[in-house]
Formats: sequence, structure tokens, C-alpha cells
Amino acid sequence: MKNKTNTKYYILIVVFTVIFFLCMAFCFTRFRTLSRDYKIRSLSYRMEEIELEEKMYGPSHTFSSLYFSNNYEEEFDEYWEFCDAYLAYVRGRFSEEKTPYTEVLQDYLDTAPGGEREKAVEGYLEELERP
Amino acid sequence: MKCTNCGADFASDQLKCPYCGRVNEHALKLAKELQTYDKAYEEKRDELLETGTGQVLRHLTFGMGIVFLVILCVAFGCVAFYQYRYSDHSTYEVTGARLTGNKEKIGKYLEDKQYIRAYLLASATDPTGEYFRYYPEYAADLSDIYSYSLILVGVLHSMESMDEGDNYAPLLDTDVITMQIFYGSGNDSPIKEDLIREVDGYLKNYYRLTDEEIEDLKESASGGQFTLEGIADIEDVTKRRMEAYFEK
Repeated sequence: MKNKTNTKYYILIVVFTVIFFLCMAFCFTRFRTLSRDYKIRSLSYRMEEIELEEKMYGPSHTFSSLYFSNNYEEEFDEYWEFCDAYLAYVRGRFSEEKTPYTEVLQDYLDTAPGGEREKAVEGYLEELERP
Repeated sequence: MKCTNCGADFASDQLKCPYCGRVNEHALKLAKELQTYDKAYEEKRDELLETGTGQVLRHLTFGMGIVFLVILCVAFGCVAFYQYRYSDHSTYEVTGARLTGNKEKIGKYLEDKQYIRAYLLASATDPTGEYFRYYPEYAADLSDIYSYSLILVGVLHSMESMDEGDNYAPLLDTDVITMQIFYGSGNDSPIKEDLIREVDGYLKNYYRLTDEEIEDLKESASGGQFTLEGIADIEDVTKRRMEAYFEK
């Protein structure tokens, strides 16, 4: 009878330990998923991602980066300004009337901060002004 | 002690006299008593050991149970907190001042013709998804912008592959369905007109459709079949036209 009582405790200890480790494994994986999601959604991570993609694929890729990562916040203003110019170039490229679009590109160049994006817009403007 | 038989001296714990072999009754009695005590002690010891182990195990089980429970509560609590704090649901900014602020921003973006940005802000902060029930004043325009964004992204990808010297990405059946949804939405706001002008431009100047064909496509939005040159395989026709035009 007493042996049975002790066996019950051994079984309980094993069951507790197994349940404990299973629950801790669940918590660990869930927490890791959450922390990764949080990191991916953070502004700094998205900003780094855009800059990296811009370096890898050029400024024309900026619109895709903004669109697919849902980057609508004010922190991305300068990228959206460039995208306005880029989309004006795309529209102008497939339109008979180029003037409204070259004006948008010229407006961007008037206040452009320089760098790769400005060079790209200069190229777009040159292409649209080509007869 | 002295032997009762021969009178020789020997140790009192010896069971027999070493000289005459007479049994030492006193030592024998003591030995029997000792044996009885030993047996009783052994029985008692086993019982005590078993009871003690049982007590230790019981305490250990309860102790482990409580410690594990506390650790699990803390772990689940942390996960639940982070789940609430950082999950998709908690990122929706749809109440009070934030909702008003979002509406103002969407209005400003639409005014500045940043249509895609307005759509991204609305879709990221509206739990009803593409229904835009949190932004009813912009819902019709935002739904059209959603269809337009799919068309635009398709055009941009296709244009990118064309610029890189790959094959021309022609108009696909799925693109036509998106365009039919876009044209047939029934919205006639200035924003929609602006978007229609742009999509017409892509169809005409990029996919090389004629004005009549574009009108046919708009009419087919109400459930009609859209064909090019009488052929249902529009992909092949547009690819041929694009190659002929852009290579020239």
C-alpha cells in the first residue's frame, strides 16, 4: 500500500516535469515569434530595410519597398516625396502629354537633398524631355 | 565468568565453555534477545524508511508543483502581455484622437495625390480590412485605390522586367479581372476619374490597346466577356503588340 503511495509521487513528479517543459517550450517559441514580429514592424528595422534595398536595387525600388512593407508613417516622408517623382515619371512615360509630369520632376529637383535619388530623378527628367 | 561445570574462567559473551563445552545459558539468553531486537529493529527501520521517503516525496511533489506553477504563470503572463502589447490587433490606431488624426492624414494624402500612401494608412489601421468601415467618407475611393494599386504594381514590375531586357510582361487574365473590378465599382469621384485616366494611359500606351478596346473592357466590367481581336487569349495578343511596338 505504501509502495503504491510513493509510486504515485514519482508519477506526479514526472508528469509535472514533462508538462512544465512542454509549457516552457510553447512560451519560448511564442515569445520568439512575437519578438521577431515586433522587430520586423519597428520603424528602425523598416527604415534599415528600405535603405538596404535602395543600395541593392537602386532608388526605383523604393516604391515597392514602401508599398509591400506598409510604410505610410511620417518618418518615410522623404521616400514618399521621391516616389511621387518616380510615379510621375512612370505616368509621363506612358502619356502623350509629358509637361505635367516633367513639372513634378522639376519641383522635386528644386528641393532635392542630393544623392542617388536626385541623380535618378535627373535621369527621369532627361528621359521625359527627350523628343 | 566461571563455568558451572568445570569452574574455568571464560568471557561472559561466549555461548559455550571453551574447556568443557558446557552451554552458557546466560549468553544464550542474551543472544536470543539480541536476535529478537535485531529483527524488530529491521522491521521498524524499513517502515520508518518508507514513511520518511513518502514524506520527502510528498513535499518534493508539492514543492515542484508550486514552483513550476509560479514559473509557468510568470511565463504565460509575459507572453500574454507581449501578445497584447505587440500583436497586430493592438497596432490598430482606430479610436479617439488617433482615428481623427488618421482621417486628417488620409484626407491630406488624397489631396496631395499620394493615393497609395492614403490606402496603406487606412488598411493598416482599419480592422475591417478592405471594407474601410472606420473611414466611411473615403471607403469608395480607398477601395478603388486598392484595385488601382494592384494594377500599378503589375505595371511597375512588368516595366522593370522590360527595362532589364527580359520578356515583355503582357496583360494577364488576372489583370483584366482586377481592371474590371476597378472600372465597375460605380464610384464617380474626381479621384476615381484621375485614376481612370492613369489606367487608361497604361492600357493604351503600355499594353497597346486601342481606345475602342479600352471601352470594351470598361463595358465588360458588368459581367461581359473581354476579347482582343476576337481572341480570348489576350496574353498572347498583348505580348505580340508590345514586342512589335517597343522593339521598334
